[in-house]
Amino acid sequence: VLAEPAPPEFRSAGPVPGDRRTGDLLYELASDRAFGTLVLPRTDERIVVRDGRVVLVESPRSPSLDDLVVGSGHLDAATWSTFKDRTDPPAVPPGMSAFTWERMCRETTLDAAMLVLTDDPGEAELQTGSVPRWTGSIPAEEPDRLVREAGRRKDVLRRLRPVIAPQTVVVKAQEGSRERIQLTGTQWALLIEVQEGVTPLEVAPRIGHGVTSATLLCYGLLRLGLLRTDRGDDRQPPEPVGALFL
Amino acid sequence: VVTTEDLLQEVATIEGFVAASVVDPLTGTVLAGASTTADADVQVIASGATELMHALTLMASQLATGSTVEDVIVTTTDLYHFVRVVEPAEGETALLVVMADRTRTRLALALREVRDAGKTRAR
Repeated sequence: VLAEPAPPEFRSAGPVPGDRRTGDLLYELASDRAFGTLVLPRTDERIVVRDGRVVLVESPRSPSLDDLVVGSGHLDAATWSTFKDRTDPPAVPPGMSAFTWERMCRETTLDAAMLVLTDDPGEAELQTGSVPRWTGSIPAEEPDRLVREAGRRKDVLRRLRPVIAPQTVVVKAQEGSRERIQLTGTQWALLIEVQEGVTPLEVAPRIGHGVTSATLLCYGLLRLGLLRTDRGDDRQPPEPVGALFL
Repeated sequence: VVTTEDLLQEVATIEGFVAASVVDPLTGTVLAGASTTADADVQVIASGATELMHALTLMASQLATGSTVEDVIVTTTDLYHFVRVVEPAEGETALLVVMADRTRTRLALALREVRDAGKTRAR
């Protein structure tokens, strides 16, 4: 049960001196058992903490929870907005399963955490007491576990980078020489969205998954010969890829 | 509402239970974990299970026989590792990874319990 939200109170934690990273701030918030939203104004990023544990991380550099929930068609914009505005929101948005809700929240947080936690936070403000009521059912993560998992995912993407990155444009491979292939539902959903060419970063919200998941899905379809990277396309990012997402 | 924690509770009663986790099959992220010992590194086991399933799923895709991978049992000198594909909600897939002590576990019985747990579906 969330405490009655007090009017946001701004506590300046910065500028953060030296070589500290945003991840370091999380450990301080954990030891203070902080309850509020850490705002990084320079990058417009937010980390919601409850009792010192991380509930949600959002960054403009990766798809938000709004993007995943609404972009994938799980909820329409009005239902999602109503859910977020309610003073007594249900544990799970109407029409969604608990598992899907939990997965989307986690994917949003982990993708954003990869970008946010290793950055120099610059100025940081803790808005004490500012925790949206609708985040009450989201499982909170210990900072240590979040930092480790974000690092692990970063390593996974680094290993894939010679083949595919979140900004690599993929297109459907030519039909004809293709053997019979059996696909999962998620692979089908992605393949339908590829059309004229798309990046994992672009397609992720449309299939309701995070960018890391979408990149891995595309990698699997590349290995099956159903997609190919459009290397000659001028939409490809300049090397090294990953300037935006990593 | 059935959650990842509910899935874990169902397998925690297996005789010889050591650890279990519910894992995102795409990224290897542990969605929930439970362990009776500090020695069990749930994340390392989850990553291994995910790699294993990626390889088997690729094989099933190329065989295109209409059959899909349901579960895998890996036997080490002291443990059984069960990796079971579950559908905790419509359109969602997860891996249920269970470790059990070989000296205290009857394989067939444990496998049946893992499979029964995988039948649970969230609303």
